[in-house]
Amino acid sequence: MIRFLFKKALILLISLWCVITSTFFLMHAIPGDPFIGDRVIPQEVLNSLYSHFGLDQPIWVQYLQYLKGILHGELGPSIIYQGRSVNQFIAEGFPISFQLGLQALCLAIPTGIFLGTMAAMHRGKWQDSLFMTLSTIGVSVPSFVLGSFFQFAFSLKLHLFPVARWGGFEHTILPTLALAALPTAFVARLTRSNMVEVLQQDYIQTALAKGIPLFRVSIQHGLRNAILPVITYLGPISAGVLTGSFIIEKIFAIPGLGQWMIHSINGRDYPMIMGLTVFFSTFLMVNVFLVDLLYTLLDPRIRLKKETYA
Amino acid sequence: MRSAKFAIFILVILFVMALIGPHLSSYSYSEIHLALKNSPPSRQFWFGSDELGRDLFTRIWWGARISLFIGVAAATIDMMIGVLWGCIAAYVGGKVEELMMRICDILHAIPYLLIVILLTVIRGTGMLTMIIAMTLTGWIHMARICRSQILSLKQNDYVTAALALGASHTRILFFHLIPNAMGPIIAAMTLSIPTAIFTEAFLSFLGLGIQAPAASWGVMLNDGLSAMRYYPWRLFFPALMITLTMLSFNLLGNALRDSLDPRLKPIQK
Repeated sequence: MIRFLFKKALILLISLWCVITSTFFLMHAIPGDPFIGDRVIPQEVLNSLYSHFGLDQPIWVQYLQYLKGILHGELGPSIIYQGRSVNQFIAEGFPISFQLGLQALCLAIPTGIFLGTMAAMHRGKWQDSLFMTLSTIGVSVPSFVLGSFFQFAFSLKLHLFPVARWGGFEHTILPTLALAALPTAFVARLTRSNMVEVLQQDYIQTALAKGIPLFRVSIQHGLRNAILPVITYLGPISAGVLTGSFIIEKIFAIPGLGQWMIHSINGRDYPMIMGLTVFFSTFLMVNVFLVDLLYTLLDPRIRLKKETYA
Repeated sequence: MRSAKFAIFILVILFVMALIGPHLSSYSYSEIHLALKNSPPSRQFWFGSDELGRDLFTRIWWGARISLFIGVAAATIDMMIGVLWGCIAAYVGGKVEELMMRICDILHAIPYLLIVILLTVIRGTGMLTMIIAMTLTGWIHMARICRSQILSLKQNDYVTAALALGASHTRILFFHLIPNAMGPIIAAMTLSIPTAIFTEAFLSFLGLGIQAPAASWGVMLNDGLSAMRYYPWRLFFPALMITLTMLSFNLLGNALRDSLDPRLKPIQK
């Protein structure tokens, strides 16, 4: 198991290095200059700007300095918002995005597991088709459609919730719902297919034969085994919530990190895009790694089994 | 199988309309009628018009062309790279397989949409860039599926028989193994089309996708969003189209996958 974790950690580190390196060199391969725009800037000023941002150094020196900065947690400056660093934006925006994402996951995972279990227990009956149809729709409706529909229906027409912006809890309700739809549908689908498989096992049949009601068997014996694989998907699910938050934050004008990402993309603020990409990637990859760790701890079978890829 | 039939029905309509739709109305997709801007759906503009008086009906079907093209192209390229990679890894085995699958693991750990965003920021917007960006790490899922298929298929006796008859490895791979692995591959490919369509809309929504005056669903959604309060049809039609398309591909893909995996089939009554 130590070997398994070591392997995973190594893959994490290599992937991180790939992201950081490719981000750095791709950003430097862009033709053009961040400071030359419509205004004419005197050469002396340009030179001092270059030396301020370290752009007068050879590229490998810049690369090493960037790596060093990242190891110290420094993600570099923003070019458009002069004098502010990427770290400041993260400190401001990330708590908001994190709260939103966490709320969405806390809503999505229990609901998804419940719906999936219900569907599996009633396999082939109307509950099954209803929940699975709902989950296919949930996977298919893109978050921008859902978000704008919620905004249109519940805020503009029914006046139940604030239209946009960030404030009290009531501001978070619609964005959370819009963000939670996709993971809910995904978890429901996953739980159902695992549960269907588990419910065919001999120990379930034994429990049923002893006269324990289906509901109790499903919850006590089935769910334990069925939700384990769901845990492995927590990593990809959190990635989905993150990218979903780009859209949701834009629709609801929430000042989270996703908004800043969009701003920096639209303003072509390359150091900031670079910094945020590195931050998001690190966050997600560490997430996936922690989920793997958790899974290994929870499922004793994985320690015995030889590692498989599929 | 009702849902699969529904999905095929919708998809056929969609493909046909993508071909003939833009020619049904008398407008072109970029024709501007400023006097008639933001008009609601009527006999003149079947789906209404946008803030420059462009006909939304024509633009929707133009968008269908773009979305379907990107979806199918990205899925096909993913499939080709993935099948080749997965097959070679599984068939050769040993150290080569180990190395190839490790490369997959590393690439897989990199968040998909972030890489797509990064590449489009750097390479500039455009259809080709988008497809390149999507396929750069999109093939990994396919390679994994393909590998596990080939691993179990190559145990079969007919492979040994073909080898005994003197068939070359290429022949065994392309005439015996890949055709037998095609079922799950096609199901996975169908399911990757909506992802590609979503990604296109996502990029256009962020302002990184197709540029005006070209029409894509993501661009129209983005435009429609700002006008939702007073001109809801500008949001409604692109939202409806993109949802229907993704739903149909998902339904079809799920039906294909379920029919290939008997464990997930509902009990026959």
